[in-house]
Amino acid sequence: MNPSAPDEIVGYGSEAGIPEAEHVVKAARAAFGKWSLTPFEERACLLERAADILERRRFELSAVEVFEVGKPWNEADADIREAIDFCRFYAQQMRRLGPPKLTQQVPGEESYHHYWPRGVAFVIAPWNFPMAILCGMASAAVVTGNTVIMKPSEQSIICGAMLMQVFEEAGVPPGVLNFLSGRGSVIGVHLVDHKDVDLIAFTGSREVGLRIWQSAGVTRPGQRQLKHVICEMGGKNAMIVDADADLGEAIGYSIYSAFGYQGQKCSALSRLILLEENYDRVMERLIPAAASLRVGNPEEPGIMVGPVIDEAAYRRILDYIEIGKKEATLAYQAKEVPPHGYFIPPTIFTDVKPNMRIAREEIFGPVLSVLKVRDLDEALEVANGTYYALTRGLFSHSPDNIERVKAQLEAGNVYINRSCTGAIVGRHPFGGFKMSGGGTKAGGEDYLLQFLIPRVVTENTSRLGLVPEETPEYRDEFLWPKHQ
Amino acid sequence: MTALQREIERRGRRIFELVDKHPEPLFSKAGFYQRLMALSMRDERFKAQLFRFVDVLPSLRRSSEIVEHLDEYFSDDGFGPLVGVGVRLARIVPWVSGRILRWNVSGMARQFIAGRNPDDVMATLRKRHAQKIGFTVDLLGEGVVSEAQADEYAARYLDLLEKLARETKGWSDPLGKNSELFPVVNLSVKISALYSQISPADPADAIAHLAPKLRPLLRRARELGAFINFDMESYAHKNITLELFKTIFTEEEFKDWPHAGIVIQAYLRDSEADLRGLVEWGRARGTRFALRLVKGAYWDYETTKSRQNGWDCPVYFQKPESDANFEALTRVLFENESIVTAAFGSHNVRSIAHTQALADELGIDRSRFEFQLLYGMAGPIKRALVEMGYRVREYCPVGELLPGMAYLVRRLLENTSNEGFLRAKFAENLSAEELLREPRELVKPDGASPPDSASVVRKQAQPRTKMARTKCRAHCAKCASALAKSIHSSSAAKKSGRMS
Repeated sequence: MNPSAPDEIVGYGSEAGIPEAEHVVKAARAAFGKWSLTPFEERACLLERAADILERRRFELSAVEVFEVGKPWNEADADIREAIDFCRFYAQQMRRLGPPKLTQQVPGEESYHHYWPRGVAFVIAPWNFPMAILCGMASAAVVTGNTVIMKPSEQSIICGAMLMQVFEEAGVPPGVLNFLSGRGSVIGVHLVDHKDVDLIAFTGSREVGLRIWQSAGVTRPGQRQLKHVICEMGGKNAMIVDADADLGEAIGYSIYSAFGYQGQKCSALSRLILLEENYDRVMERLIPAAASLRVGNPEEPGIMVGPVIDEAAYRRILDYIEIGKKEATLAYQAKEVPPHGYFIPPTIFTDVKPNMRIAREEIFGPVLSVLKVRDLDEALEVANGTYYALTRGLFSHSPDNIERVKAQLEAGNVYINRSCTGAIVGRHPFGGFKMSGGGTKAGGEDYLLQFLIPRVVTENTSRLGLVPEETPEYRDEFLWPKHQ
Repeated sequence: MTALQREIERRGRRIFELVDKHPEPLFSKAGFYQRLMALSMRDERFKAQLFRFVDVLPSLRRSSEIVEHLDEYFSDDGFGPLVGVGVRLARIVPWVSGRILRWNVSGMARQFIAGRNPDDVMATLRKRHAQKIGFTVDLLGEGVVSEAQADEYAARYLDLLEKLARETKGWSDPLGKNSELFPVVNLSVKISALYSQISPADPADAIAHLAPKLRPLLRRARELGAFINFDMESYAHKNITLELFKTIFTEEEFKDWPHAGIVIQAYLRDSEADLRGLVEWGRARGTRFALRLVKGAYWDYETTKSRQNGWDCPVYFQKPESDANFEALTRVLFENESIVTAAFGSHNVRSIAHTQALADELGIDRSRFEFQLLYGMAGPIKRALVEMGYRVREYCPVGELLPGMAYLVRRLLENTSNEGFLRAKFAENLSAEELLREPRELVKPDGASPPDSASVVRKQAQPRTKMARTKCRAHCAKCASALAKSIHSSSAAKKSGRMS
């Protein structure tokens, strides 16, 4: 369904139930033996082939995002680019981690440290980056030798199916990557609890994330190992504007961070923290800047604010706006938005206090709260004062203040003098801590380790005191001589 | 040596003679500024810190803040005793030193800004008129983030236009020849100041918003007999500006108006194709238009931006490549003199001498084109050109200190750049022969790209689609419209119950 025009159907997806889920787990389990013994080089090449196909089909795929999830052109393009980057980056990382590595040089003994896949991975992705996040989690799981059940969000099934198509064209063996669309409350819950699922990679809301974290801790009859959970959840992201900031720049980036893709990025800005000293000067330009945004159907290029994803989101965000009106002051709300489709007018609240709901809870829509503080100390306290720790930042031209804030902001990603959205794979490894996530970094050098079990193999190589001259730093993979 | 090169050298030497006849420091204000520039040219790190400090200064309100920042930017011992002492002194009496600093830096900015407001600027323009130097006025302003600001800008342009027309009544053309090509009142307009939501992905939207804001200004300019120039800024806005220019001046109302101009930046690799496109458009339109040829002032910005994004760099890497291209484009302009009136914006005596020599070779009278130079820079060169009987116009920015800083920093970068002409001539005293060399000879064959070029970044991450490029946009549009068509038709089919 097209969120800009809900009576338009972008495509049809099927809804899997428990029997299909069971079938898929069996397929993944069956494929694991052979896939885990496939050399890492082959697995890395698979990802690179997928990346090439994504690159070739880049414009076509981003067009699908415009219609299925209401992404503006630039944002859709960025999502495909990120998916490509994930494939290439994880391929490169797998080559780095693949060869067993000597732990220490000791005469007469060799110890090699290496990694095994965990087993069957269940990937649960959100709709807001319908290709990138799904592709990132799934490709990481595949390249590390796991077999994967990939569940796209119910709101972005077409994008998910197209990604599956890309991997099929790239030559992923049967059973290694399994596409399963359906309801989280049915198949999601069933698979999280499943004894044959060894790893869950989830990106989504805090509420669902915490439920997964809890259920995964329960050992089921017949379960082989502890389930490993990778949870990336929401944020209540903040930017501080220092007294000496370049206001044109600060306002431009803040507006983009808060309202780009309708505020539906986990990294989106939702709290703007202003020092008393320049509060009036910022507000004087911030409101007209918000009022100048182009809200409309993202089918038109250059639109920055499109519709929110669906009716439930639409209602939830409007409810928060009502809460905001009671708690704080409605400083700005766009008057005109397209009448059909799930368009929410960009909204700004002032007189927001840190304890208010709109300042604490993730709204995931085009709603910005402005908080006024005395000085930088209070700004830091307010910025850090939520359950979340995903993105936070500062606009300042004072080297000392910049240094201080760099050290003290509690966030997985800290941004100075730029937008707090738009992380690039490898350059800005992305992910938060506290209630924003378990400290994993998508697109970071340590991400693949989440999908692996470390193992050490030690051999006494001395015979009657005779030892081989030198032990090589790396050795070949530990593979079975023949596939079973 | 070719005849043209001989003539260029002859002209160049003549300009230098005239320049040396009136010894004047490179920068009209000596002292503080002179010393800072000298220091900047010696020490790249100091230069970076200085320009950052200049950039932040206008947003500091209290003297104590100024001193704190001074301390943070320059307290590093590496900057030598002079700076160190200054910083320590400033700490002792922050109130006084804050004001002095602000005053000094304001002085620096005032050197390049012709006036704070339209009233202010008239004094400058009158003085220049007496020296036979014309003007084009540009309005400086803060980055436009909202439509309210953009509307305010449009109103300021209109006010400025009225004011200039009123105050210059009765001014005559300095050459008294071909004056119909060069109205006295000349206004330079920046499109980024007139619309806050310009998206390189959507030129049609930008044009739809910009044209209605420009029409009243153009209409009034025409009534007043004034000239309007569309300035060029960064590459992201280039194609939009070109398209806007062609669109609006093809409209019935403005089709036969000759007093509109646009800019081509010779440092852009696209520049020749763009220029030829404009000439072709002009011929089809059948009315003269004007074109200011410059080297381009956003080199650092474009290079960094494209490297950061892994894009092919839109500008030439080597300064002599831009210089050589400037000369090639000069020829294209003169060859099409029957449809385009050219203005040459350069402080480089070699480029200027080349323009003069080539005009003679092609038999173009010196009253049929003009040189444009920036306010506050290269005064002696302007004077020399006037003496030689050429038409000179000064580019005069008007505005407050705060929004003027970005402009100031661009000028400072230009004046201290290792490759800048003014630095080579006035600070390093290079010989005339050296300064007048054919730029092609100076292009290093192995210097095609800097070591850290976009390809390194591109290997790390897939570049974003460069929406400023027509081709990329066309790809996106094709896919989107194909999909839209299939969705719309299948949805319509479903509504009428024909879907299985």
